[in-house]
Amino acid sequence: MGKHEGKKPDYSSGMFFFLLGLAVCYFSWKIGLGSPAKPGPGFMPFLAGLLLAALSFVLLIQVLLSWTAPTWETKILWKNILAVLAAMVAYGLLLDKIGFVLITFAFVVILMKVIEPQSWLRAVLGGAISSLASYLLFETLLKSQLPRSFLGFF
Amino acid sequence: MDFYSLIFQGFSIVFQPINLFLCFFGCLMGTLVGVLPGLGPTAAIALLLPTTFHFTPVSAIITLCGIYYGAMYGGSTTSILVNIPGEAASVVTTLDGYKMAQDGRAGPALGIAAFGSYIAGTLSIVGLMFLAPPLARAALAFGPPEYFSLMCLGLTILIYLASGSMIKALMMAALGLIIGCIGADMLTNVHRFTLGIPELMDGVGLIPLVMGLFGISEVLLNIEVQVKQEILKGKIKNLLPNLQEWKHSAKPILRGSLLGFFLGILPGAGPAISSFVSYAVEKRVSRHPGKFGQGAIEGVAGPESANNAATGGSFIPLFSLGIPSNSVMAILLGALMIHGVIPGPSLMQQNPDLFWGVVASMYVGNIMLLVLNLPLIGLWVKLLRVPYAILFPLILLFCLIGAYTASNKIVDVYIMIFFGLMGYLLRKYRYEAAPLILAFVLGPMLEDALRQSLIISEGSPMIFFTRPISGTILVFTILLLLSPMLPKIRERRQVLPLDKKN
Amino acid sequence: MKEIIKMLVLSLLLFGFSAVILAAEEPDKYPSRPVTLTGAFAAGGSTDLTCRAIASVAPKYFSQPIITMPKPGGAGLVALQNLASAKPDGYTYHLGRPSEMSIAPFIEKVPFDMEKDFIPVGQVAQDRIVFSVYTNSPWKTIEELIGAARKEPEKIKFACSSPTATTRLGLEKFCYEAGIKLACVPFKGGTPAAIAVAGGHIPVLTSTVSEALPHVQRGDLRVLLTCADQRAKEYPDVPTAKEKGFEVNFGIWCTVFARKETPPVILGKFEELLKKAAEDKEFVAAMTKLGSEPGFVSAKDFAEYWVKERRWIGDIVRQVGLSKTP
Repeated sequence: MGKHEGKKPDYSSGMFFFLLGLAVCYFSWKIGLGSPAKPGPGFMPFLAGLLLAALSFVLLIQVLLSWTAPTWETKILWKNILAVLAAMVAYGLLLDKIGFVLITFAFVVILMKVIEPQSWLRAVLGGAISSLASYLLFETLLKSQLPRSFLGFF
Repeated sequence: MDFYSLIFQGFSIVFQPINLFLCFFGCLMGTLVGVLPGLGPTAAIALLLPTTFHFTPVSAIITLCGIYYGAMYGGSTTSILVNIPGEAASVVTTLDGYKMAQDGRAGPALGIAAFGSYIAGTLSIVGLMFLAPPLARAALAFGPPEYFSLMCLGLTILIYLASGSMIKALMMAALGLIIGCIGADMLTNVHRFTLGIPELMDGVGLIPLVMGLFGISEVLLNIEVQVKQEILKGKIKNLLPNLQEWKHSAKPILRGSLLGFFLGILPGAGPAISSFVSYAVEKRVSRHPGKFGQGAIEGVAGPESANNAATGGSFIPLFSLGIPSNSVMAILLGALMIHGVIPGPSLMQQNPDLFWGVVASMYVGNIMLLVLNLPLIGLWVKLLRVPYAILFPLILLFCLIGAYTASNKIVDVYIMIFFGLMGYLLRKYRYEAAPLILAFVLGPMLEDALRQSLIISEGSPMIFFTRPISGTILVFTILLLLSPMLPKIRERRQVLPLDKKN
Repeated sequence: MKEIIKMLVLSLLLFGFSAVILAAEEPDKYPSRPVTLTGAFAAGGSTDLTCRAIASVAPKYFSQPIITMPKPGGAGLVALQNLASAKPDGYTYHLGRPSEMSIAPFIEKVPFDMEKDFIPVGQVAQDRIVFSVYTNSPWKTIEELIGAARKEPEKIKFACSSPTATTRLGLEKFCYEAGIKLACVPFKGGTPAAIAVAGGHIPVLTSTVSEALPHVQRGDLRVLLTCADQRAKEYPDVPTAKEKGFEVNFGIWCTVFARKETPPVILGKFEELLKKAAEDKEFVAAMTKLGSEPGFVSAKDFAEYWVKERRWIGDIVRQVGLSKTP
């Protein structure tokens, strides 16, 4: 039985889910478990949380006993990930404020420039085409009632 | 009126130019909407319903059915090409379909999906024609205890969905159960885990969840490594399935059709569950369960057939009993009533042209969809060659729009983004999303059925065993759970590889 | 960077320009733009279809189109929040039902005062509530059911579309009046509830007229009582609550609401439209097809009724144990 060298990914995730499972159990218990004959609102989530915690525990044991736990790279390329996530959240936030066409255009252009930089021509062209095409598709053809900007007409 | 003259009458109605056009229009719109991630048949029909108001009842229903079928066909396209399920029923198709696409076998995958869907759709319509009334009555026999047992059976399918570590798959199932509990409790209206956000009172939506966990996470993973490349790594091998692939797919298609048809009849079950069940069944009976998850064509043929067969099956309760078995049928019911048609046993007698016209249109629609989709395969496959740097903003864009327009709630967009991040992290740490989705869908139904049954039985759990249908299903489930203990089966399961994904 | 600044300046100019244009609205010119009508339920459901019916007959009486916009979710909170945050200029209305306008405030933490923030503009239709039983159950009349229930309190089960549904509260009020107690088995939706009873799994059902209809036609359900003043066309042999002497003749109304601060002159114009729409032949036909009962009730009359209704709903909610959850 060896000791585990460094943090194996299953160890981190196992720990996370173990604690999450316990947290769920706690909050479920607070809501009210009822009884097996009359299960309350907390009954099912409590069992699910318990299951999660128990399974995570088994996983942790597996890792600590170190013979079936593989290890692999879990590095996260934060720059790209955060940029994309931020762009999407911004899309959601600004959709109602500056309207569908404008935000779509901005979104496509920004992503094309930030992640794997394309030329300005490509980016702007891509943005324009995708925003107009999707506008036609969703608003005109499918009548989805997309948000308009303060400009009123699109 | 005898049977054949009724069918003939039905076809003569469909072949009227206006109805042919509307059928085609419905199929086209449905496919288009189905291809767009997030917009499934429900959204498609809801969006296009107003355009049918001025048609005659027959024409309106023909259009709407065309949309429904079209959306089911379209949903598999994005699952295979970019790992984004078009709706819940296509989630399972991503498991093997996307792998096939990455290996240059997108054409055969799309082709088998199209053909399987056509065969299954046609078979289910035959079933609809002959078996409608008796089967509909059978559906009524399923009360809360029967649903509970059915859900238990459904959850055991989890065992077959896992292609890596079983422990981690079960952890994902537990997580799925927990996420399924978010929202206002059905019985007592207590808020569970809603963090004070009013929109969460209705729970996490399936569409944002699926799109986030599969679609967004896929993009996030790819922009770390793949931006300079295209999705397609190697050569495109063929555009259509070859003989061997046909041989492998034949039985899955038949099994999927049967399974999907019967599961589609049960209210609440529907295409999503039938595709999961079909996948599990195929894996179970396969001689090489190990190749599932690596690009096994059976993993596409079975589920795709199942979800189309379920479409046909789901019409049965509506036309025979006037009961909608899923949300699409509910909207169709509303549409029928607006046109003055009350579905029910009287439907077939009082409006025979409506019923048979619609049935005939389903045949025609299926053929139209096959003809529509096959040539498009070449087009879709070319799409995979587009540099990812240009493709991914568009994929994200469609996910965002899809999430928003599906329910008109901005919150769904944020939920999708959140699960996108979560899905990305889960895949980094080698967890699979499919068991989560299955548990998320089945968990709440299981819980509701459990609590309803216990109220009916006043606390006694014996109700699940004393009722014949429920008891049979439960016994079968227990046997299924114990079967891995048998040595022969254990041997087969050793073939499953450990943690090979990503 | 320069391009971004240019874009910002341009946008600001345009914004200012349009803000000036869209300033005050003169009542004489009302309506000068399309009007939005929201509903708290999903597209394709009866509320949405009622909105669409109004919208389709409106062009005969109203110079601007009415756009229907379903805003489901959060027990009606999403739609209400939308209404509350809209400008009180008569261009945003909400087709409300008791479920979010009367019941939800007692059950959820609703950040509005229904009386102070909203005002009814007119009722156009209502769905009636009926109580049915499984066809093989021993009770042929409502009195027999009451008798059986008195002998075994809380033993007889009934199905409903949700624990907070208007249909459930209607049944609970009836039980209160009749002095009996039934056990509630909630479902997620009217259809599953009706199916469970039609299949014989649960003996009693509380639902709308149209939810029960297909099962009654097939002979799986027997309707015992209609909660209304007049007999339902679909069930001419079924007695009404009024006939039997129970105070349960209230329906699931469809009433249009607006923000309280909307100018009364504008509200009056819209009320006129609603009255004409409710009496329009096309609208009546559409409502009948849906199983609803068309009929106009003025803003004043409805407001009076609404106050009374909210009072007894509050009582019932407390009795049943559903009042505000944390």
